[in-house]
Parts: sequence; structure tokens; C-alpha cells
Amino acid sequence: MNDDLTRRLRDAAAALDDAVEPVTAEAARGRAPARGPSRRPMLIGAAVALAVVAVGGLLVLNRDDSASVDILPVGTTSTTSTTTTSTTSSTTTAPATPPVDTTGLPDEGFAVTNGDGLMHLYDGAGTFLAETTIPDGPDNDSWMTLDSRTGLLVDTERPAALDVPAGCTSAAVGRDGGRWAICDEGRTIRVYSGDVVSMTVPTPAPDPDWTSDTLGRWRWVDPSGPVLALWGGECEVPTTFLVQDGAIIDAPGVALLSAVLAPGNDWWEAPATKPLATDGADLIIEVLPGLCSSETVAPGVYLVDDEPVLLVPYDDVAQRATWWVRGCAECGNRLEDAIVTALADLGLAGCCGEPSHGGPNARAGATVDGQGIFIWADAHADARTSHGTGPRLPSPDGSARDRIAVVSSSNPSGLGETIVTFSCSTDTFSLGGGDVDTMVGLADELIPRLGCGLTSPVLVEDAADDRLEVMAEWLATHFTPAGFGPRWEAEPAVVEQAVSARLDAGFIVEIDVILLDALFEDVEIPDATRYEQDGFVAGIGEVDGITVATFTCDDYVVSLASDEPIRTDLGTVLTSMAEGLGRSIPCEIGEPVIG
Amino acid sequence: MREPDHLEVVDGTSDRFDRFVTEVEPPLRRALVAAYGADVGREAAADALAWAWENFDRLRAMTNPGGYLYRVGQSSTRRGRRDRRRTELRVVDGAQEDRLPVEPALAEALARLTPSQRAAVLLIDGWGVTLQEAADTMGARVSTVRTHRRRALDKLRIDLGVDP
Repeated sequence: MNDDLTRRLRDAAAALDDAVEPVTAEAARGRAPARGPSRRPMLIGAAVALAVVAVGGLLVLNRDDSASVDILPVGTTSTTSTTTTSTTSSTTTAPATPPVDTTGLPDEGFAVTNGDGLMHLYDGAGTFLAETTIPDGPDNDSWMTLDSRTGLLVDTERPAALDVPAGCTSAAVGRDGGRWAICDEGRTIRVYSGDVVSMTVPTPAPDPDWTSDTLGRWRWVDPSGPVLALWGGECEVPTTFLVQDGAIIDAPGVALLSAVLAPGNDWWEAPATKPLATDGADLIIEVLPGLCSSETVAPGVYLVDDEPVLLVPYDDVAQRATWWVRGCAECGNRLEDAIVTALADLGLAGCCGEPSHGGPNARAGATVDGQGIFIWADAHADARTSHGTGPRLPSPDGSARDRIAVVSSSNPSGLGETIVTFSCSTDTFSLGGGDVDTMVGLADELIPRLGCGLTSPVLVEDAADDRLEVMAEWLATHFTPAGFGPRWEAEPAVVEQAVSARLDAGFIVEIDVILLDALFEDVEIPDATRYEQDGFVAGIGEVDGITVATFTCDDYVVSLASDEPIRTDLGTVLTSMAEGLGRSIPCEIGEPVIG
Repeated sequence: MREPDHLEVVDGTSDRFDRFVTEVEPPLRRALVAAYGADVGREAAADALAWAWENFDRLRAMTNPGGYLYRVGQSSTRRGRRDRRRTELRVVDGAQEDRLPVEPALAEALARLTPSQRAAVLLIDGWGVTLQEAADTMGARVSTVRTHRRRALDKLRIDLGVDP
């Protein structure tokens, strides 16, 4: 890139940083309504119910299991919830885009913005159909769905394969489900059925000396209708081909248009380029002001037939065209369809989802009892894929629930999250963002409506020793995960298996359980204090400013450490945690290894 | 059972939100300011972060909370929640009325880009973030941001008379 332009952009960025004050967390809180964040009862309970049991010194968290949850349709009021009686409809935001009367509309067409926040819908022949506002949502300039049920325009992305094959730069899904990928730096187009290449599209002008510097290459392939692909180099005359039965055919009219327009514009990169479904050779394109030379033609939307026809001229530089298709905006794939249909059957208001962007997974949500609960589904994945391996938390009593797992998860930001997950056929569904009871209740209602067979979630993979699993579950049940929660760690080079946890007990406690006979350096605690009660023995002391409690349990060494100097209350908590952990499994408590 | 004498009950939500804002606010603000101008963009960022505080639990379940907040900010500008103040980058009769507070020629050229193009080119070429980081910030796919940036650079070169 040109150094001068780079410098000017960097200067501009620096000037913007100087001119605009950051938004602080305090300001954001002050700007929000007084209600503040919705809080999950489990987390609050974890904090307020933290208590030390004097007898035995066991640290116990009391969970509130008393709340029963009803799944309520929109607009009704809870009568059983102990926490809220708000109506679910109150949190549903009115759509920003007014509905379009879809009666008699074709299946697809194009829409043009007019610069005033309005959008005009046309059919493929350029006939005006309706006026609406620009839909709220991501500005991806490529694709919109006109929801046949609601009449709302929704910004979505052109169906595309999320998994771009190795060696390829882009891939799009054809109507037969195959992935059409541009590979080898534009030299070839391959069609994948699953992971197998079912067809390779030949280049229009094979060049044995082809290198990455060769000008000609495949620029795009659009397989969503009749497959059209464009070959060319920047500022050269591009050629669009129709791909039929593995052969490439010059698309009538397109070459003519190329001759008329080129090299004066970048029509071949226009995002709204889209073939008509009514005629395999016709093409609707958007022409924008040229980049490669000063030549240009009138910007607007053209129909390319025997000769180009200007359907909608642009008279405003802000005008842009987008292709639209009729469909179900909220059910872009199998899993979204299943979730949305189930929520509609329950009469629940949707919320807080994201479009699938053409991928196989679903991100939806529902408002239940005033809580916005995220529901996401991973296709052909078990719970390990979705959440990693880790301990299961006990599900609330009285639910189904040996097939529903409550897990402690976290995301890369380190924000801990309690998630309800279940496996249905080959897919895994997960719920987050609400309190556990509500999410489990919703899962119970969803499962029979998803049309799939419930299977046991696979969460703990090949736990060689049940004792590890029990200890991990005890930790996860009794403490709030801090950052990354309790999880299995397999480090074959060091230990066969271990469980480590980082827990919030009012202060952060790091816990490691590892095999005694592994490559482990003993915990040496000079001047350790021996703690003994009812057969449980532990050592506690300070090492390099860190307070450590340790005990042995059969062939495991367990250490609990807090990054603070030893003091009475800290010692009490650590020994209480150690004892609770040691008593959580049937094992023989040995002498602590304290150096 | 006795109450602990020394264990301070810590919820931690406020602290977590502070950390979250520290991480997310700079790219979010920059992207929205680049797209919609200094005043409107900052207002949109403030709206998005206020929404984040209201819905912090929901954000935790998202894989890309920053990208989602960018869209919340976009919605904020479109819905005109505020007092419909004039946007800095509004184009009237083909002439730019207000511009980004940067050098005049560049400001004029930037004003001719779409909001997404401005955000992409300023994030990547101005603030020096990677393509992936820009895509995460804008809640868009890498290929989409790459296209926005390329078009933006092409237009800027032409408008500013800069050789490729």
C-alpha cells in the first residue's frame, strides 16, 4: 500500500483518538437504566450462601432449589416464580423495519436504497414492488431475506460455506448443497461434496506457466442459481462464464456488457451481482463508479440480456443495491428451524439470537420469565465439542434430567458461565444467560418439540479414575468458578490425569489434584502446621508468600493455594476446603507430603 | 453454623464489567467513530456499552460480544434513540456538510465511503489492527471486511490522486 496514504490514515486515526474521549465503564453504568444487569440467582447464591460449617470445618454453599419454573407464553404472568412476575412481552423490541405485504410478491428480486433511509423493492425486471425502511442489522451489503411470515426485511449474508477447504480462499454453497470453492490463488474452481472434490472447473485459458502473478484468475463464483463464474484480472476485460456439467460456456449478453463497460468500472466485483433464476444466462448487476479508469457508465442496476438494460439508475452516490429472497429469516438452517418452531409452539418471544450466516449451527434465544436466554445448537457435535470436557454439575431435583447436563463453562474473556446442555440425535443444544432452574425448565419443554432423540451428553472423556470426577464435581458444586472453572487437564508428559480449578471463595483459590507417583515435585512447606480432625490430615503453611494446604488421598496429592500470605481466616478456609474435598470421595487419607 | 467473620462476599459483576469495558471499548469506539463520525460514533459506543451493562449476562454467552456490541451501536445510530443530532458525515446535495476531524482532503474522501468501508480502512490501516481483529470488532466475516477495505482503498486512491 502507498506509504503516503498509510501515513495519512494513521495520522487520521491518531487525530480521532485525540478528539474522542473513551467511554468508561462508570459512564456506561450511569447511562443504563437503574435496573443494571440481570443477575443469575446461582451466582448471587454462591456469594451470599458461602458459609463455614463449624462442625468438621466444611465449606458449604447452599443452593436455592426451591424455585419451580413454568414456561410461560408471551404476555402471561408467572404465578410460581419466586423471583419475578414480569411479562415476557415487555422486553420485546418493536421492529425497526415496517412489514412489507408479501402477498403476490415474487420469490426474489433486488432492493435499492435511496439515501434517505428508505429502500425500494423491485422484481428482477425492475418493476417497483414496495417501499420500506433499511432493515436494522449488520451492514453486509450482500443479501437480505424477506421473511414470508412477518413481512420483515432482515439483513443476512449470502449463503456460504463456512468451511473453506484448505488451499482455497472462498467457498459458497450451491443449490445442490455442494461447496464451490475458488482455490489455488484463483487458478481453479473446485466443487466439494463433503470433503471430496466432485468436480474441477477448467480455466478458460489454460496457461502452463501460470503463476500467482498471472493476471487472469477466477474472481468469483456464484452457485446459488445457475452457476456463474467470472474470470479476469484487475482493470482487464472480465468474462463471465456459465458453468454447466463441468464445462464453461460464455454467458450470452455478459460478454457484450463487458465490452460496453470495461475497463471503466468494477461491476464484476459489485456485491449485488446475482443471476436471475428465470433464465440461466440473465444477470442483474449493480454498476458503481469506476476504479480502474476515468471511463464510466451510468451507475445503477442493470439487467443483462442480449444487451444491457438499465433498470434503476442511481441519482445519489449513497444508493446501493442488495439482492433479496423470500424465506424464513429466523430459520436459516435445520437447527434454527427446529428451535424457532419449538419456541413458536411454546408461545415464547424470540430474542437475542444471531443469524447463522449460512453456517450449519444455530444461535437463537427466547425471553422466559423476563430472562433473555440464549439457545445455541452445534450440528453434529457432542458436548465436548461445545463445552470441552469437564465436570457436570448436579441438575435440579425433579427434572429429567439425567439427560440434561449443567456445566460450568467460560469464554475467552474469562467470563464464567453456567450452561445447560443436552444432546439430541447427533446435535448438541445449549442454553445460557438465565438462571439454572429456568434454563432447565425451558430445556425440558424444548426437547419434545425438537423432533430428535435425546442422548446422554458426553462431557467427561475417559476419566480414568472416578475419584477425579467426583472431586471435580464437588468443587464445581460448592464454589463459583473464577475465570476458567474446574476442568480436566490431560498433560500426558507430566501426569496421566489431573483436575485443576480456580475458584472464588471470597478470595481466589488454586487447586490441583495430581497423581502422587507422577512426575511431581513434592510440596515442601517449611514450618507447616498439621491439621487433623476425625481422621482427615492435612498440612498447611506458607511458601514464598503463598498459603498452601495439602493432603494425600490414596495415590493423589491435592494442593490448595491462595496467592496471599498465611493468616488465620485464610488457613481456616483452605483447610475446610481441603477436608470437604478429601471427604467427597472414599479414599484413604495419608500423611501430607510437606517436605 | 456460623457466619464467616472474615470472608467478604464478592459478587464481582461490576469488576468483570470494568475489565470487559477495558478490553472492548477501544476497538468498539474506534470502529463506530470511523463509521459514523466523532459525535454520533461515540454516542453509539456509549449506547452499546450501556446496553452491555444492562445485558451483561447475555453477553457472556456470546463468542464475540464485541462484534455484537458494534451491531448494537449501529442499531443505535439507525433508530435515532438520541435527539437526531446531525451526523458529522451527512452528505447534502453531494457536498459534505461535516467531516471527521482529520486533514480536510482525507476527511472529504472518507466521507464518500460507506460506513463499513470507513470502519474497515481506518481500523486496519489507521489503527493497525489485523483483518481478523477488524472482523471481530465489526461482527462481520473476514472476507466481508477485506472487501470493504479494498474498495475503500481504491476509492481513496482515486479521490486523493495517490498511486497504488
